[in-house]
Amino acid sequence: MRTYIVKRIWRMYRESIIYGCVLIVGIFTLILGIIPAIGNAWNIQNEINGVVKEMGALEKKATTLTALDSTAVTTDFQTVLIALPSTKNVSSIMGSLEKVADAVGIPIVGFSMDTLGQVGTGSAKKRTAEEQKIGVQVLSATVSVEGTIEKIRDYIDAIQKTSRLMRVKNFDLSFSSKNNAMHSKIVIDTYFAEFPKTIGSVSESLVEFTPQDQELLGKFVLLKSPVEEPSRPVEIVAPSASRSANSNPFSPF
Amino acid sequence: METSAQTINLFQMNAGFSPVFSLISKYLRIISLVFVIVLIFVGAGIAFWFYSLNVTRQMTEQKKLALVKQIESNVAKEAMMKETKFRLSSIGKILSLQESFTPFLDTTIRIAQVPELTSFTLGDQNVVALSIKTKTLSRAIEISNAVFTLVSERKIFSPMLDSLTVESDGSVQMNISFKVILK
Repeated sequence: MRTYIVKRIWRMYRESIIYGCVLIVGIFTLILGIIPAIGNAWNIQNEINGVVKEMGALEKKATTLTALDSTAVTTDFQTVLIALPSTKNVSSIMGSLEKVADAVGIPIVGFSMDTLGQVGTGSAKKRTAEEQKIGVQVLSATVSVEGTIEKIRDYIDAIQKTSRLMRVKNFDLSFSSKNNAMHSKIVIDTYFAEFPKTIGSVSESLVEFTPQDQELLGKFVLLKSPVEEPSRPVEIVAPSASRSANSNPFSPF
Repeated sequence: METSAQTINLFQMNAGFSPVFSLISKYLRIISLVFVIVLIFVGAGIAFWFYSLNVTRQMTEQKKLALVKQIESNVAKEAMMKETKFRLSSIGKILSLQESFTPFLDTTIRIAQVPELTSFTLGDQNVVALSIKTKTLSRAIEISNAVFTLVSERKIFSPMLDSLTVESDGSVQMNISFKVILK
């Protein structure tokens, strides 16, 4: 009986059933296949658009980097490195102060440095508010000189104009009857900034120097180094140097 | 005359469709065929889109890799530029903290010199404190006049005679403080 009914329905609605099934399968194909495929393709298209956009920046960066004169970049870097070294470089501080004293014609009668700690770097030292503000580490030194008040004035003035960046924080003067001259204790702040472990992502845009930066750089280039800088290899890091923390891109310095 | 609605033909294999179903049945065929054809074309279009996207993606990735390699080969330059920029920024901040002490010493020189000037202290808010020892009272008066001259010239302000002692030998010990006008 049931078979008869099925057969009868099939005979009666065969065409409609077939086309109905085709339509249903088509709708399922549209919902489960075509629409998600369009979504995926759209996502890939957006992904490509993003990569193309990123490539524009990368291309600009690569072209700029390739066109840059490596000697000029190294010279600029070395200039700022003399002003703001990567280590405490106590010898350059002492050398600078001595050279300035010789130039002014005033004898240094005392020199001390506090919180020297590890000579090489300032690692594991908690940064002060001033250090956080300027973004580098401060190393204080006290230098004592003896001479006329004019020479002391010239010395204080000259200290702040050396190629190794220094700032006179404070000073005092007292009359030394023994030498019949003024004795001055000058508190100086010197600075250093360690190199970062990595230089960041390759997609980061290249830094640009503002006219103020160029002006500042020019000012330091004009300053003659008061100390003979130790000869350092001015070679570019091997191309194998990566951006990971395991390799230091500043290894020659 | 009898109509089909009033009679039943027992020999007819298919029963008659209702008018609505007939209409649906008529269009179902067309709709499903058109739908399948459209689906095939859309599917083919999407397949072609996928293919071209994959080709484009591969090419883009290759180009990107080449650019990354080019940038990586200049990593030393980039590192130096970045550090130069960072250091210049810090240098700018440090230079803004530097101050000239010349006005403090220049005004002091005009008030007293060695050996009369026995000490100089620079305190907070640009206050200069001087200890001066003169051999005579008249010289101490001259020094006081020099201070007033500097005030009138608007080089210093708020001058204070903190102490003045006349010793038995006629020498005078005086402590003066003032604030320097920085221009």
